[in-house]
Amino acid sequence: MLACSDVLDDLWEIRYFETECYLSKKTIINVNRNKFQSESESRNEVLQEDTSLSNDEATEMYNNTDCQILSVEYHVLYSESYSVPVLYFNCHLPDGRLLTLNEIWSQVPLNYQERLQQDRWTFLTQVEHPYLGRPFYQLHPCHTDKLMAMVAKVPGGVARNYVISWLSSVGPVVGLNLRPEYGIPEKMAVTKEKYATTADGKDINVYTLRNGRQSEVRLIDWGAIITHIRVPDKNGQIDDITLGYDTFKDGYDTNPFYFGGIIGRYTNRIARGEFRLDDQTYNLTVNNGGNLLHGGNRGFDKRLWESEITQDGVMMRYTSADGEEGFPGEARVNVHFRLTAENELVIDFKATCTKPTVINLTSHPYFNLAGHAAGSLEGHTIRMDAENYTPLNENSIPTGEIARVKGTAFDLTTDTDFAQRLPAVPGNVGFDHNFVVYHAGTGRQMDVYSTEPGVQVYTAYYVDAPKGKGGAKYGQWSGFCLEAQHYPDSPNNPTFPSTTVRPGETYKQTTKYAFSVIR
Amino acid sequence: MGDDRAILRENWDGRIPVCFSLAEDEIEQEKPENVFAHVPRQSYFPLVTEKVSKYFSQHVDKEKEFPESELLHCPGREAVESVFMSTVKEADALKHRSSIINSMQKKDHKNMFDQFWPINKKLMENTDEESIKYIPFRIYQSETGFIQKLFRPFSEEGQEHTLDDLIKHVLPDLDEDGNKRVLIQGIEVPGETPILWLSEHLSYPDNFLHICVVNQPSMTISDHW
Repeated sequence: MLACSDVLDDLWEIRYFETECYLSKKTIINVNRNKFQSESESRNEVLQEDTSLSNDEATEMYNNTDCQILSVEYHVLYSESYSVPVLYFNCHLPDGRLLTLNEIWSQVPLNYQERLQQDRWTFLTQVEHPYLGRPFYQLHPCHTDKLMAMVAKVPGGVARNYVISWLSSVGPVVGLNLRPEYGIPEKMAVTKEKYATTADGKDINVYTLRNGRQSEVRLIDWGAIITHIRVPDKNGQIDDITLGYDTFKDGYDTNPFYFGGIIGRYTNRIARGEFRLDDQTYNLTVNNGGNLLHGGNRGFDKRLWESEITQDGVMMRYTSADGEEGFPGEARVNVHFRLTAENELVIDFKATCTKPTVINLTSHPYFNLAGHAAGSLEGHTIRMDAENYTPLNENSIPTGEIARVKGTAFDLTTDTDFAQRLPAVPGNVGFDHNFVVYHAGTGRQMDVYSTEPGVQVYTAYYVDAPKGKGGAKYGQWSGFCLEAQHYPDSPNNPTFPSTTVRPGETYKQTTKYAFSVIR
Repeated sequence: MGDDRAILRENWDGRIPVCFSLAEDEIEQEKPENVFAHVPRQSYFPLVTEKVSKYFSQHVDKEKEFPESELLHCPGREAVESVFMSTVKEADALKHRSSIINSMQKKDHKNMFDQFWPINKKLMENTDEESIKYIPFRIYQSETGFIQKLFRPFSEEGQEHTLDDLIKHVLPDLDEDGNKRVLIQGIEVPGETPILWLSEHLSYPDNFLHICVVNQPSMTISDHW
């Protein structure tokens, strides 16, 4: 609300009193002088708030015998007793005199007067300000939660912001009318800047996505890499929770651990870099332990993508040539990144190909909910709705079996202390949809949703990056990845969900990382 | 609620000796005599000072301004009732999330000021369905303002919280060496008293425990004595 107020020059400020804080606004209003200072009969005037008054206009109004200038100060405090916000205010005449309670009552708009007459001593009275200890007028909070419960029932009712919905409902009783702009959803802001240059002189750009709600994501079009994810903890403290580098040359150019990148054309492994499709054998780059890993020597995360800002985010495009790393067909890939007002990072993938091929894409940020530099996974709790996983052989390739997690170290179906379960080596877990990871100390929670049938859980066993962001050193177990994907080596396992994409077909995937806090 | 009826009775009848004297800067002629009164502890100044005001206003020529930036203006009994009722409501919000006060009829609210006990009994309820969630209290340490925080009657392990626990929670920096006294209803209450018992027996009619933390009086003979 403060952000909106700043934009509108609406004069709301945050004030502090010892450990508490509250919102405050001072303004000038004008009312009809003739009807003023009468005892509590019904009034025909409605308090008009006029924030555009300049000093000259105010003086002119003061001299105009019909108008009465009043200076009003509004405070919004949180009541621990009632668990709701409460509106306090004081109203003074230009000579400094405080309005009496009767005068205040007489100024309440006509449509509220009936209610006021029945109940005024419990509705709007003078009380001691809980922080300042001075007399203030107050709208009594005892019915706020009922009011807000009714508002919440209306479709789209309290969706955006509780304080704004509440203040716009009760404020008018005391001449405080919130401008409609407060209700408009924040527009996501995306900015673009130059980030670096590739070895062959091409520009790399960085995009910053802001959702106006404290969260921020940064991407570069080299590798479509997510370089920063900044989200609040339960106390509102914002931290960057993804591992990465400060600059291109610090590590993104070779990206040995695939920090933040979009992995393709095939994420994870293909045994011996070889597969058969339509009676043809294809040989791909072998770059890891005798297998293809993460798209080969230079997978999608080490390529320069085209990029542009869209209506709600950033679109990245890459065309992977026929034969690149041994893959058949020219594959066109679109990946769209969006940061929602609900602190969700949503990634939509699409790909098509000119020849039958295999495609398996994923996003590869490393997370640490305590902050990217935390160094370990202590305090993290993980839960995965996965009954099965794909066990691996000694070459890190799935055996082809789909095994139950029950009774094994891969059973994360109930809240599990992540760090203590670490010796459960990065296994493949086949399942549907939801994973929840939560860090107790910061209260940060991340829910991962995907349309993909599998999720690779990787706990940074091999990471050794002494030149991380801001001087951080990332070592073993310093972060975790949850890579939504099709199972590894699917081209060689006809029982696994297929990764074959033929001309005319479209590979599609959506993965969503939803950030929230638990208090 | 109060099984210790004797304590409730004593409290209800409690009085404070007060000396009213006219402010120096209001004195026009000779200084009027001070007024001494035995004021009921469970009441509010505006309700018991009508005669005192009348007496002093005879000795003052002009109307001095009411200190509106410091004191609540109580032009009549209704204003005091309103402060009383809103405090009672806040106490029930803390104790029972307002469920009891909201289940009462409007006439009960209005009558509470006069027919206190039967209605108050309901507000003091502490059963399984309507257990007390937070203890309503305010701590007064200085001239202005008070400290009010959320505080549960029992710990997570089910142990009764005592007055000492509450003081430690709200004023962790209070002198340990006994320099300060903690007074409720004018009594220096033992620190190990369960706070729930205190809430049921030593609350004021507005259902709050109003707790004063004052300095230990010095042991040397002062001018006043």
